[in-house]
Amino acid sequence: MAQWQKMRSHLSAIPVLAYLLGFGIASAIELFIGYPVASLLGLPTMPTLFGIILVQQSLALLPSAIAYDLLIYLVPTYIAARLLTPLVQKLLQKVSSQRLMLVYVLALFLVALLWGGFHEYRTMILCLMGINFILCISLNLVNGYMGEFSVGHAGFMGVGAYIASILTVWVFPRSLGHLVFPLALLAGGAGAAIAGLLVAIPSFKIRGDYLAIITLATNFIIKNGIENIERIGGSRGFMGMAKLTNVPWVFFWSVLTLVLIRNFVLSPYGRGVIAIREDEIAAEAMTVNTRRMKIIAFCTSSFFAGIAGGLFAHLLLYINPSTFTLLKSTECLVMVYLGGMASISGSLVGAATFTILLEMLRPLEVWKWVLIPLLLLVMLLRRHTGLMGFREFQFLIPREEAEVYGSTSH
Amino acid sequence: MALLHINGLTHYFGGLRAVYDFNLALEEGELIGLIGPNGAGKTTVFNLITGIYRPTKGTIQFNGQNLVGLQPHQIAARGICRTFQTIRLFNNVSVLDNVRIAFYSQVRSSLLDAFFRMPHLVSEDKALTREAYRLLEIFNLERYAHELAMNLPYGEQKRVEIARALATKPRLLLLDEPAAGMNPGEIDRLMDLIQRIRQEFGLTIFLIEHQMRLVMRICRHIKVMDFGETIAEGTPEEIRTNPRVLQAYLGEEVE
Amino acid sequence: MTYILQQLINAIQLGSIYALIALGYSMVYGVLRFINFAHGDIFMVGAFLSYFAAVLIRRLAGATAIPTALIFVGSMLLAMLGTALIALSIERIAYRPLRRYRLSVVITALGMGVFLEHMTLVIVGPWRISFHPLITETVYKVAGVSISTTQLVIIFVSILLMLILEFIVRQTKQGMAMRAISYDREAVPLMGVNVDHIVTLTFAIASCLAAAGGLLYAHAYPIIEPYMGIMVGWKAFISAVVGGIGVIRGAMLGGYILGFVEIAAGAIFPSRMRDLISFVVLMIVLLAKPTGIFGLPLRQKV
Repeated sequence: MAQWQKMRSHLSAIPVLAYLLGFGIASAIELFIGYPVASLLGLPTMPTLFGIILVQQSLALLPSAIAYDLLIYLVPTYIAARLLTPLVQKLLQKVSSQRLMLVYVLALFLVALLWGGFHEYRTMILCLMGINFILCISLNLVNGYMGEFSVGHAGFMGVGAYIASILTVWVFPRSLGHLVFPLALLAGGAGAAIAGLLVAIPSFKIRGDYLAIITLATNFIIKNGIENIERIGGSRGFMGMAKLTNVPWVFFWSVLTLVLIRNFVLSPYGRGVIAIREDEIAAEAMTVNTRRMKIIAFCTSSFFAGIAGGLFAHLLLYINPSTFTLLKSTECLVMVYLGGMASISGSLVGAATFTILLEMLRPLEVWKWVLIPLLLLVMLLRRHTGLMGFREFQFLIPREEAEVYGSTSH
Repeated sequence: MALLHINGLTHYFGGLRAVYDFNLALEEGELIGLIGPNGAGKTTVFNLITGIYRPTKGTIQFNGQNLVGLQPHQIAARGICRTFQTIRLFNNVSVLDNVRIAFYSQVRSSLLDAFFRMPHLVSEDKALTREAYRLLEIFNLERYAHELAMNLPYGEQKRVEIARALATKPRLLLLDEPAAGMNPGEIDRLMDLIQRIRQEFGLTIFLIEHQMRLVMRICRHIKVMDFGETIAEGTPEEIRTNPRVLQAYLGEEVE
Repeated sequence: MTYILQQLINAIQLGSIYALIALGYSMVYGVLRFINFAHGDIFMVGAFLSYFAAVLIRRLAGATAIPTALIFVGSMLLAMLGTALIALSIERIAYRPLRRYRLSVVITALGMGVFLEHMTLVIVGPWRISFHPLITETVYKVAGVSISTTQLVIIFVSILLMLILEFIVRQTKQGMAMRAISYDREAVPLMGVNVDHIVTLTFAIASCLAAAGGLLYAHAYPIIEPYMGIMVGWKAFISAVVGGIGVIRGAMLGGYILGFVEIAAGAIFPSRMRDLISFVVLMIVLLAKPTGIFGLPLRQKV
């Protein structure tokens, strides 16, 4: 036991940033020796997702996969992290908290590029993670911070997906590609934000279960509505988009979403939203303009869902209404509750975990959706607010707030 | 001119008459009490003043401006703040944040400033945090600043509610049964507190209370309600001996 | 005229089924103030169980000929039993421990629905199953309108079940407890009523009705598949909300209202807009009177 404790404290003494950079270095090394090592270990190809997919194809590959992970990832990451620790610690002391976030963001971006590299599959996973993160944190704004119950997030995603796609395929000239991509995404987000009003305005008078029903109805109406518009393909779907979504773009939008929502939540307006969750009547009595806050929260939430939708559409290159049903909304809910309510860090964790989980379980096909609800149930029974409910990683809290609190509680 | 002017205030909930012909001319700096048996309509009067309900009939004027039809947060921003009969704190939020939230209407930075965390907003936030902290100090609550509001003992929670209300910089403070659940010692301290904040913050105070000790001692003018109607009005001595008041509280058996 | 009468019969048939399922939503909401989003999938499970029950009974009978009425009743009872067991397990394992945490329970319910759909998919496979009707089909012609025995049985059985429910709710102690809980949750345990028992009973009755609804639905639309509960569940849910969720009379009325709305919409608008119209109706009702026609008041004391 004591050995275990010693190891644990030794490992946790190394800063997270060092691990991150170490992983980046390991990925860089993998670029050169990945293939040779894989074939040396008897693996048919270089493992794309830590060998999980390969092992599912053939259980006999498990020892080789584990060996690969150790040789290429775990050991180099640990060694590099150890070596970098003194440098990193010096850096953490020098840098202000604002800059610290920037450092983490840059490091993460670098690692994503290095690991994702030229592998189609890895790129897709990373993009999906980012998209899921945007969906998760935008929903968390309404469900976690404002304490409402929005169950129709996929509808807004669909609005954004369709608007962005229609713009890049029919309206903007194809040659402009990446130049118009942000515009198309923003337009999709704006459309989704307007759709968000469908839920925001009823929320003035209606709360709780009844509002949940309205969000559901909105989701269905959007989905059914799209199905009934033959011009854009109806239930057959829409396609023709160029593959504009890539790691840099997803990263950019993810970071933007994170920063904007984090800033909002820390501000007096964000506190107003939290007040609505706690006690709406008291909030009004304390001068909080609850109507305005509700509109802002709902519309911001659906705006970013729309952005996620646009990114999604230009990743898969084909969308149809049945993508944006209750099942997808449920996925978003699972991410929020898995990661943690009212927690940006939780949204990061939830989105990443969920994306990988879905990929890991993909070969199981139907069993996937048998296991996921059970996992969710087990999760909720153990900790009903989610893994990181109401808590945040240190680097997300600006110095002003940290001084006020002196801890990671929120 | 009276700070708060209520004329012919009447309110029906469906067929039930909760308040009938309530009138009040409250001068600045006064401290008046509203008493009456449970269900008399006292809290409803508060709810009508603060805009939670829209009165069926009657006018409410504050500082010369009409309040009827305004949203509660607008009324609160104009300078009327209240506490609640059952404590309504923001439970899962720290005590400091409870108070910080009440500064909402005083924030000048825009929403865009918030999204991009402009220095303008950061410094404003710092300033209001300092003010919130000072308020807590006045109430001897600063040691609870980072504690979740729901973890505090009952008496402290009541004081947090008052501190929070003061953050809105009100001119008129409505206290709904501030002494509920307190023992005589606590009530004495509460009385001192009320007098103190009235002086320090230049407040006009209108309070609902059941504890006669408190009301009789600090209020100079008292209104009595029963079944929605005002049945008596006057100084504590007048009210104490008023037979209608006794009858309302104790029932027909009193001679 | 005959066209209208014909559609009227269709509407009553559809409405009866919606009412049976809507009752499940309403009863559970009345007792727990919780929308069991998995209820539509309970209905689907009921349909499948009645299919398997019918197959089982036939096989057990072997060569001996059994009157179809008996098979019908037998399948219904067996399906009710099986469905109730499944629903009660879910209640016990998933809902009860999380009961205090409102948001978590609803998420769990959504998850359980997904679980049931895919579990069924795993067990039965992706093919649609053709349901052999247990009713000898005869079509009567009355006043120019054709009514089939199927339609008569559906309507008759539904109404019978609803009458039985009415009896339970109004005349028995447990029924009274159910109504009491829907009015005031806190006071009821103080009067010696075991709330958990009543909740179990409520779930049992709700799932029995849903199972019956499944059997009847399978007779009206003889193709069953694991995703059939989704749309039907939503329509029934809309019915419950329109009539006033938490109120038994409301569920019944709502079911028939939605049946009429759907048949009428189908007659006027293109068929693919049918679902959309039902949801628009829902939105309108929610915005105008969220508690529905017979709804329980949304009380909030300040």
